Amino acid sequence: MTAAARLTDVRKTYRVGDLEVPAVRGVSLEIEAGAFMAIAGPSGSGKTTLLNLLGALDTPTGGAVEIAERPTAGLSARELADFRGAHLGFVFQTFNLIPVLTARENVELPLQLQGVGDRAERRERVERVLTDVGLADLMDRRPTELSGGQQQRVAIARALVKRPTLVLADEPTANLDSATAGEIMALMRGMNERLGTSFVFSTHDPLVMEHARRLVRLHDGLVKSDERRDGGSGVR
Amino acid sequence: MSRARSRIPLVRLAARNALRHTRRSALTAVAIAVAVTALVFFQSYIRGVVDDLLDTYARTESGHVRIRREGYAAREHFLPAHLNLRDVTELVSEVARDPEVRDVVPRIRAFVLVDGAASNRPGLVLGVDLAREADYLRPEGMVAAGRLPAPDRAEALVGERFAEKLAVGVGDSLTLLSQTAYRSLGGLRVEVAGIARTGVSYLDASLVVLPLGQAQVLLDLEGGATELVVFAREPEGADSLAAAIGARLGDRMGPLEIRSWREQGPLVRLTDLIGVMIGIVMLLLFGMASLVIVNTMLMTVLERKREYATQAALGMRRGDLVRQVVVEAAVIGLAGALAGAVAGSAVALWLERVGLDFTSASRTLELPFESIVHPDWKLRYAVGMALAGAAVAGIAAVVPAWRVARQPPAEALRG
Amino acid sequence: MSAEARAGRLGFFTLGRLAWRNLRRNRRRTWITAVTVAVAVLLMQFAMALMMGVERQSFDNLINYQTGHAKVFANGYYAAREDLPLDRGIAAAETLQVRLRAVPGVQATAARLTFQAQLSNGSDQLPCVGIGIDVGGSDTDVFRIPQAVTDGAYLEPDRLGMLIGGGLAEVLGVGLGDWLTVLAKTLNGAFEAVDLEVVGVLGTGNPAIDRGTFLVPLALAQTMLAMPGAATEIAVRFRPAAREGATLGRLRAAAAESGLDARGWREIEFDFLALVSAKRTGRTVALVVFLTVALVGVTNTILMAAFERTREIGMLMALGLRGSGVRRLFLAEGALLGLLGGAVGTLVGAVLIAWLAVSGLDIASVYGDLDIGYPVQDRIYTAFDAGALLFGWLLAVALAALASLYPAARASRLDPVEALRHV
Repeated sequence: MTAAARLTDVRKTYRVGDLEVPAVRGVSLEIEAGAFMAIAGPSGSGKTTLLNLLGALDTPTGGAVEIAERPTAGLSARELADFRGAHLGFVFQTFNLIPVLTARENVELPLQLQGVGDRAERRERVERVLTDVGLADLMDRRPTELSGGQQQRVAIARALVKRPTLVLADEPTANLDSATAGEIMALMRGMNERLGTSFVFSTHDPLVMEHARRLVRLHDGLVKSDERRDGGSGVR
Repeated sequence: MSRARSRIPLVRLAARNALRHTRRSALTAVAIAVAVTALVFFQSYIRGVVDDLLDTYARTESGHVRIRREGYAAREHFLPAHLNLRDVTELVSEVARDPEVRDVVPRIRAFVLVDGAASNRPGLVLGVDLAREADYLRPEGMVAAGRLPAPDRAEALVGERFAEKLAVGVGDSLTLLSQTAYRSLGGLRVEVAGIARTGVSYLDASLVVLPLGQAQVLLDLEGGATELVVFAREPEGADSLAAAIGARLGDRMGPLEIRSWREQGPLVRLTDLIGVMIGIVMLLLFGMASLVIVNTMLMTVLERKREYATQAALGMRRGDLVRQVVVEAAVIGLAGALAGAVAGSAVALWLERVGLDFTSASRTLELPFESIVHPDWKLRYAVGMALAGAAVAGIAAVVPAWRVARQPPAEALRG
Repeated sequence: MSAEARAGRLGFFTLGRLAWRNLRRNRRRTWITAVTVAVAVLLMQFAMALMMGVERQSFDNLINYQTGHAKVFANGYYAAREDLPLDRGIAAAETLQVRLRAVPGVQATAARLTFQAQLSNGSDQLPCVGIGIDVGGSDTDVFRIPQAVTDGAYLEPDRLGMLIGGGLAEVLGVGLGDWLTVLAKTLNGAFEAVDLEVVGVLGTGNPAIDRGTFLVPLALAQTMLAMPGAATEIAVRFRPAAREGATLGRLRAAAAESGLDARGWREIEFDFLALVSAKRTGRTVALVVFLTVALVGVTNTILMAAFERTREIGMLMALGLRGSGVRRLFLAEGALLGLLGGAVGTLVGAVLIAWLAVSGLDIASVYGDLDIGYPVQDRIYTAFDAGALLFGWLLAVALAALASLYPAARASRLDPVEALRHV
C-alpha cells in the first residue's frame, strides 16, 4: 500500500533575529492512503509548521518529507509549486478564495495551473465537484456574496477538483459557527470515503477531533500520542 | 520540465483586481494619463515647429544641397555677385542626371538699393524661375495683392512691409541699384506687379522677387545664377547626395562649393537634437509616473500577501505571480495612457486647426519661422505614447511583484 | 481658543508630530512620493532660475548697451524708427538734456546719433548702423560700452576712430588698426565718406549690436551728417533706487513740455518682451505638467494611507477626534510630503543654480551663431534668488496640501462604527 505521505525524522527550526526557535524537533509519521487524520496540540506545538511541511509550502531543516512516494527535498521553488499543484489540496481557516473570481473560476484555477484538458472538460469537472459540495446554484457568485460555510465549500471543491493525493486543512472550522462546522466536517468525511483522498487536519477544535479516524497529538515539536479510532461522530 | 499549461486567466484577474480599488487605480492611471497627454501634445508641437522650420528653410534657402561658386560661402554676408555660376542650363542638366535628385532650380540672390517713391532702402533681390518654383519657393502662395511678375517683363513682387516703407503699391515703379557680376554698378527699373506676404518677418520687410531673366539683366549675369538649389528625393540622404554630385561634376564646371543642408549652418544639426530633447522629457515624465505606479503596486501587493500565498499553494509559479502583478499595472497604465493619448491628441488637433500665434514674438528672429505655428499631430505619436505608458507601468511593477513572489508561501499563510 | 472649539481636534504641534510619525511608518512609500515631488520641484526651481537669469542678462544687456532705461525722441521719429530718419532728429540736444536731467529719478542722459551707413573694407561693402556717442561726455554715464570692449580700447574724444561689433569685424575681415570707409547719406541727401581706424572691437553678446553696428564719436557723426549739435535720440538712465513706472511718467511729461516723445525700454523692446513672454508661457505649461504628476502621486499616497488606517481612524474617532481633526491630520501629512520633497528638490536645485550662476552654461557650442532671440550669445547664467527658492519650496508645501484635500475629506467622513469593522 502506498503511503499518501511520509515524514522521516523531520525537523524545522526558525530563526528570529539571533534566536533559533525549533518548531518541529523530530517527527516521523506515515499517512496512509485514504487517511482522515487530525493533528492536535496547543498553540506553539508546531502543528501549523508540520502542516506547512506536509504541504510542501516549506522545507524542513532536517529529515525527509515524501508525498506520494516522492521526496520534496532538493526541489526548486518552481518545482515545488508544480508539485503542489499536482498532488496537494489546501483548505484554510480563512477560506482564502480569490475575491475577484467567481466560485466556478476559483475552482477552475488549479486545473488551469496544471494544464488540464480543454475548456469544456474543465468546465464539466468544475461543475461536478461544485455540485458534489452542494453549491450547484451558486457557481457564478463571488466570495463576497457567499456565507462563510458556502465559501468553505468552494474551498473544498477547489482542493478536490484535481483529485490530489493529500488534502491539508489548517483549522478549517475555526471561522464557522458550530452548525456549519458540523456540515463541513461531514462533507469532507463524505468526500474522503467516496474518493479515497487523504485528509490531514490541524486543529484544536474537539468537533474536528471527533470526526477524525486518527488523532496525532503534538507537544513541543514532538509526537506525544498517535491514536487510531473508528470514525463516526461520538464513538470513542 | 515544461508541459502545456493552459492559460491562467491573467487579463481577467488583472482587470478585475485593478477595479477592486477604483479610486486608487484611477489616480494611478491619472499619473500616466497626464504624462502621456503632455508627451503626445509635445511631440506634435515640436514636430510641427521643427518640420515647418526645416521645410521652409530648405525650400527658401538651403535646399537639400546648394551649389555655389567656390569661395562664396566665406563671403556670404555680402552676397558677392561676382562669384557666380555661368551656363546654368548645362549645370542644371548635369546635376539632374543623378537619380536621387528630385529637382534643381537656379536662383540669384543679391543686395540692392531700392529707390521708391519716398525713400530708398536696402533690400534683398531673389531672382527665380517662377514657373519651376511652384513646389519650392511657392511664389503663387506669397501673393497678397496683385499678381506674380510675368517671366519676360520687368516686373517685381515686393514684400508687404517693404512696400509699405517704400510707399509703393501695385502698378508703381521701383528702381533697383546693385553691384553687378563685374563689380560695377547696375540698375533696373521695374513695375510692382504684386505684393508678397511670406509669413516670415524679415523677408516681408526686405524682399524683392524678380523673374530670373530680369535678375540676370540687373547683375549683368547672362545665363548665370548665384546658386543652384537641389532638392533630393530623400532628404536624409542629402550628405551623400552632395558627395555624389561633387564626384559627378568634378572640375568640369569650374571650382564649386557643394554643400548639403546640414553643412550650411547650425539649424539642421540643432534639429537632430530634438529627438534627444523629447527623449529626456519622456524619461523624466515617465520616471515620475512610474514612481506613482511603484507605490500603488507595493501597497496592493502587500495587501494581498495571503491571496498570493494561496495561489502559490495551489501551484501558481512565482513567474505567474509576477506576471499577474505586472499585467495588472499594465492594464491600469494602459487605461491611463489611452485617456492621455486621446486628450493629448485632442489638444494637438485643436491647436493644429487654430494655430498658435507667435507673430509678435517671432518678429525679432532671423529664422525662417512662420509666425503662426501649427502642431503636427500624427497617429503614431498617440499610439506610441499609449503603448509606452502601458509598458512603463508594467515595468515599474516588476520590483514590487518580485517582492511578493520571493516570499515562501508558508510565511504568508501563518495565522 | 475656547476649549469647545479645540475639542475634537489636535493642536498644531501634536498634529505635526503625529503626521511625521505616520509618514515614517511606511518609509519606503513616503520616500518614493517625496522623490516625485522633489523632481518636480527641482525642475521648477531650475527652470525659474534659468529663465530669470537669462532674462536678467538680456534686460541688463539691452539697458546697458542698447536702450538705457528710456529714450527721448523728436515727435514722429519713433513711428519711423526702423528707417533711422535723420530729418526727424532733435536739434539742440545739449540744452534739452539739462531739462531732462532735472527730472527726479533720472540719473544721467546722453545724446546719440544713429544713422544708416555702409562700411567698406576696400573690396566689399556691408550695410549696417552707425551710432555717434558722446565720448568724453555722458555716454558712459548712461551706457556701459567700455565693459564690452573685447579688443583694443574705448573711443577717445579727439581721436578719429571707431568701435566695431565683433561679428561685423569678422565678416569684413578687419581687426585692430585696420581702416574702414564709412559711407552715409547726410541730412541733405548727399553722400559722405570718412575713413576711420578700428580702435576697438565690441562683444556685447547682443547680436543686434555685435553683428550690425559700429560706434563713432558724436561730434564726428554730427559733422559728417551735417547735423551740428543734433541727435536722433537722448538716452536716459534712471537712478537705481528710482521706480521705473513713476520715473518714466515724469520723464514723459517733461519731454512733452519740450515737444518731445519719451519711450520706456520695455516699449521699445516690445517684440523682444513678447518673445520672452511666449517662452515663459511655454515653460510654465511644462512645469504645470510635471507638478501635476507629482501631486497626483501625493493624492494617491494619502489616499492609500487613509485606506490602510481605516480601523485606526475609527478608533481615533471613537476616542473623540472629530472629522475635521481627521481631515487636518491627513492634510498635515500631505503638506509634510510637500515639505520633504520640496526641501530635497530645492536643496539640490540651489546647489545646481549656485554653480551655474557662477560658471554659466555654454550655449555657443550648441547654438553656434544661430539667433535664438535673446541678446545673449555665449554663456547664460542662472539667477540665484533665495526668495524665489523659498517661494518654490512653500509652493510645493501648499500644493501638496491641496492635493491631499480630497482623500483627507473622504477620511473625515468615515463612520466610526463601520471603520472599526473594516478588515
